[in-house]
Amino acid sequence: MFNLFIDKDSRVFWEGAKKNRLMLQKSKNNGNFFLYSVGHSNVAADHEFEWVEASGNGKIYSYTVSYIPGGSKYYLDKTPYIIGSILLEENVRIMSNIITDDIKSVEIGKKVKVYFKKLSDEIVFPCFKLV
Amino acid sequence: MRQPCIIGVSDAKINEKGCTSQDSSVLSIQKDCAIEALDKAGLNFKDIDGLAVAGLWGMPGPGVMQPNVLTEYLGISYPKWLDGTNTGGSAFIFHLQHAFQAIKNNVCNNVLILYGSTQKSNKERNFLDRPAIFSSQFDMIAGLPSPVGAYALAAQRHIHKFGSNKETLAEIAVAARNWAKLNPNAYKKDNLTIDDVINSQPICSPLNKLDCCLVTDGGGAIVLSHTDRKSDFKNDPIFIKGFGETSSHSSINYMEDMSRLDVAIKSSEDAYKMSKMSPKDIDFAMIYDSFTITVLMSLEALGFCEIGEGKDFVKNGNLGPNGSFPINTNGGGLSYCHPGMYSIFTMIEACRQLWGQCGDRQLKKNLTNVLCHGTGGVLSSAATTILSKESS
Repeated sequence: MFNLFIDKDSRVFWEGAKKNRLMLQKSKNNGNFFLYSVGHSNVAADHEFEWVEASGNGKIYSYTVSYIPGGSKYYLDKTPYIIGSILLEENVRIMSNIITDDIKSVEIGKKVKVYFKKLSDEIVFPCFKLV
Repeated sequence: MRQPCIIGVSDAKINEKGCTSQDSSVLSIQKDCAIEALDKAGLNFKDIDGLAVAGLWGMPGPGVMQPNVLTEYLGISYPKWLDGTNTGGSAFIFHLQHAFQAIKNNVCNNVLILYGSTQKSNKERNFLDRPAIFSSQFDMIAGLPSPVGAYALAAQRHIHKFGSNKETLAEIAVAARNWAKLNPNAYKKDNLTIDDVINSQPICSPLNKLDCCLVTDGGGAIVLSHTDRKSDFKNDPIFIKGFGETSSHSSINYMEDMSRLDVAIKSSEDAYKMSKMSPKDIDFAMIYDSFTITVLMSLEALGFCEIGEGKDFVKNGNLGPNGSFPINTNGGGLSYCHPGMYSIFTMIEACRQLWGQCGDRQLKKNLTNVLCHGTGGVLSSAATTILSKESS
């Protein structure tokens, strides 16, 4: 169903999610957070980093209600569903889903909290619900 | 002084289904475009010693290796310069500026830039089985349709921040259609209203089906040479006055500010600086319109209006045939053709306008400087060039 290529830079994230922990990378040089890529995170590629657990709190940076499936055949019978770019308290954006029964209640800037959703036997995905 | 210049262009014919002729292949499309562009330029294949190509095709397994495939297929004898830069749909404007530098510095003399696609005929556009890999692994597990979902996230943010709305976006689609009606080779020529766009099938909010580019086959070729052999040219040379290129991210989530197209701000700043021009010196613009939101954000970033004021700038058909700021006179990726990677067509149409070869859609005003801008990936990369009848 999912054709996920976990690699060195995402393994801890996906392993953490299985234990209901939202994991981010944190620069040991300046304390800034990032996930996978350091682009626009004020972290340089040669910084040393550690994996830390995030608070799970954030707000909606942007979102889209998708009326077509994307990314995986899993979504063929899930439309419409909401994809959100969530700005976490740690100043890292994460691409995720916003879980709600009321699509109209979703707005940019609203506070959200992580909600771990099991997508398959192998994948638990950190999703978000409105606070 | 040896000045690189464009001397020939061509685009592939597409039929009423948006396809090239039934027996064409991704390679034969490029050969046919090259033959036509060379003929219009007054050169032959034996003159070509530089080749640039990008596309969605390639050798499976060992790597795409498009420059090798085309060098062999077209029989180009030991080219001195090859470019396979692939930054998404913006790639061909990257090629143009790289070719400019190569010709200017005597690395090579005559360059072909080529593109071909059979994505419509071959139904190649299936995104549900692709591997969730690199930074986009999170996007794909979240079910983000690519690329439309990424552009939708930017559009939502732009609307939120600046008060642009669905009518704003629809204006851009309608202007493109009104131009396409004047282009015999455009795929979509039926009448289109603002309401048609707003009421079209929702895809990824706030973008509807008619906010999205077409899916067609297509191809194009551009021939560059230099003024030392001006006596051979059939067309007046078109000069490259300035250019800029950059990149920012691969997944939309790593774009610094989704409401502002920083890559286009940077690439156009470089192009204006090199050409000693500003937006007010540009007579008309060809702007890659992968989605309506791409145009809105590009207009702002290129300096044709202030950031956030695009919504007023595009009103009342301002970008269309009767507007004060015509763009995309071929009908754009929204209504002319969109074979997957479009930026080559911005330069092809710019040259035809400068040569006065555009028939019913020929702009009535005097044209000297045309800006071409390409976006690649998901607002990821940008390249801007300013083409001109005047040499540097």
